Amino acid sequence: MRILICEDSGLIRDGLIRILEDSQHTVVAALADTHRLDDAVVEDAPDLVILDVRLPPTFTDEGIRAAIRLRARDPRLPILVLSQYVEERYATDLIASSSGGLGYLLKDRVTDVADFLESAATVAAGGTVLDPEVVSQLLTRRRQDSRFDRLTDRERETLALMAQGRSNQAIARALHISEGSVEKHISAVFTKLDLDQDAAGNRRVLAVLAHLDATS
Amino acid sequence: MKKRLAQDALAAGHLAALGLIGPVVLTLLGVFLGFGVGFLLVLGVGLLFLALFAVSLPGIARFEELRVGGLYDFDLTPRALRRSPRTDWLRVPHTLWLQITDGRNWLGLLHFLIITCLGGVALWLLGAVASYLVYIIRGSFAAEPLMLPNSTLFPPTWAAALIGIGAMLLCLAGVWGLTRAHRGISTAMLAPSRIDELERTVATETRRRDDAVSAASIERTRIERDLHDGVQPRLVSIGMTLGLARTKVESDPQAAIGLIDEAHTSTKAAMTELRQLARGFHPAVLEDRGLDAALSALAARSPIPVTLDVRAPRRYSAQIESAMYFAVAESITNIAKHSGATQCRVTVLERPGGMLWARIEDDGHGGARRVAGGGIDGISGRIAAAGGVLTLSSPVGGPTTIDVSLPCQP
Repeated sequence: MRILICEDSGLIRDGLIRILEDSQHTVVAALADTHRLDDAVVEDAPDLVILDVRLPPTFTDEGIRAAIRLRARDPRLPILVLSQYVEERYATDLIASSSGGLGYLLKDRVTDVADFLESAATVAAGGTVLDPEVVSQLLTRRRQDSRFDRLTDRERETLALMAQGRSNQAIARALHISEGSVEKHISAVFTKLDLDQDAAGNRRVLAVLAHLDATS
Repeated sequence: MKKRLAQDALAAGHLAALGLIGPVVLTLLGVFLGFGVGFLLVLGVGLLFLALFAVSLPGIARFEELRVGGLYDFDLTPRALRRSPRTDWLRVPHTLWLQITDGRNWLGLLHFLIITCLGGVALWLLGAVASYLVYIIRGSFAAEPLMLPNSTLFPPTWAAALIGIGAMLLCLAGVWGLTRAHRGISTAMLAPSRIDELERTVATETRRRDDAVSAASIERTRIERDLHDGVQPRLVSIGMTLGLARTKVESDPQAAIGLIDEAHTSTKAAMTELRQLARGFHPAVLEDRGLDAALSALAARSPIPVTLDVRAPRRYSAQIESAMYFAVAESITNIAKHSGATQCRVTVLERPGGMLWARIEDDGHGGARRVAGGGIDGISGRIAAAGGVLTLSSPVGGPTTIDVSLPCQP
């Protein structure tokens, strides 16, 4: 897989390059700011762009704005955004502007090498991956919603893992139940939250979140 | 006591001067007003005179305030003229109108009028003193009794001197009485009231508090940035290295060992960075041993050679020591980063009367500016919060000099 990195910290940039190249990926470019980002994406045609949220010059949300810009030009470009803190606002901005092939992770997650590589692969394949921290913050905000009371604990856990972008198989592994049980829980969640049953794959993540957003 | 006598003597001079020029000024003012009103209907010519009046009025009031403030040492900060907030062509007429309707202007004019009248009397008395002087000299050697000025008496020649001196003293007493009257009237009319003083104190304290708050928030931002830029990436990098090592433990143990060694080294570097960061907040040596020792340590660590001359052997309050230490530390950092200097000199000494003073000079290329949110502004805010003052002299081409003074308990 061809990957383009945009990260201002030299230490982290080098670490990412090493992890990715160790798994036989090719890092086509490693930029320290968004200055040449747009041109590099066009020239090098990466399969995945990994972007830090805070970049020079203002160190606020250059990354998010760059991601939205890149998506505007090519809606199917997979982008994985790494963030120092969970900034819920940025997460919702990103989600609103996209339709798959999107990831939002805390920088801490890159220390779990295997998980990080799996997330990168998921995003590059068009899936959606959200940091569990982001998901739990989003869900906490909506706890006042009475419809959540209808869910059992298991169903809530399933919803959280679903929102993180995990496949049914991964959810089953995480909760130590069978895939069949997972499907049953998901079905129950969708019914109780009045969600569209046909939503599948990463679109269901977005469906859940869009729904949560719209009805909060 | 002596100060009051000196002021009263000066007041006598003021009275005489006002007695002379006052009537002229008042006449002129009256002419402006009179012509202004009188010629109002004659092609608006009157308006010109009214404008002159409106300009002269605050001028006289200001003059009186400054004169009296200087004479009796009132702390009168020059009061700003009321300006019109309008931006159209009516701005000038409106400003003039505001002058005419400003009560304080009329107060100043009234004061001027009163003092002019008193001045007239003072002039007359001073003239009388002169005439009595002449009388004493002439009367003592005259053939026959001369008339005592300002009376219908003809004292005998042997008494002329005595009576003359007596009259002179009486007149001088009168002048002195007038100076006392001047003082009383000025104090009553123009002295800054307790309310004014309190308002000024509040304004100063508010400014100091705002400086302190903004200095604190600049510090906090800097701490946040230092942690973000320094420590966090270091930890993430160590995490990644160890994560990678973990995946290689079975498949490629040699590589895993190399990575673990790398993470180990990185951890030690992280501890050093944290220690330096902590020293930036709260240097232990400053608290334990005081300014002299802490500044020596600073100079030793400095990337450019620092000549240190510290003559402040005792301890000061924590706030003063801290403010002074950080002012010097930040200045040295700025010098090293921006000035292109080859060396720097720091002098710290305690001045009599309770002031801790420092001068930081470098031989760099100068041109340093105090920019909002910048380094020098930050130092300045911190110094101001501790009740001190920072002055900067940095002509282009250098050298640059920063002076810091902080009040301290003597």
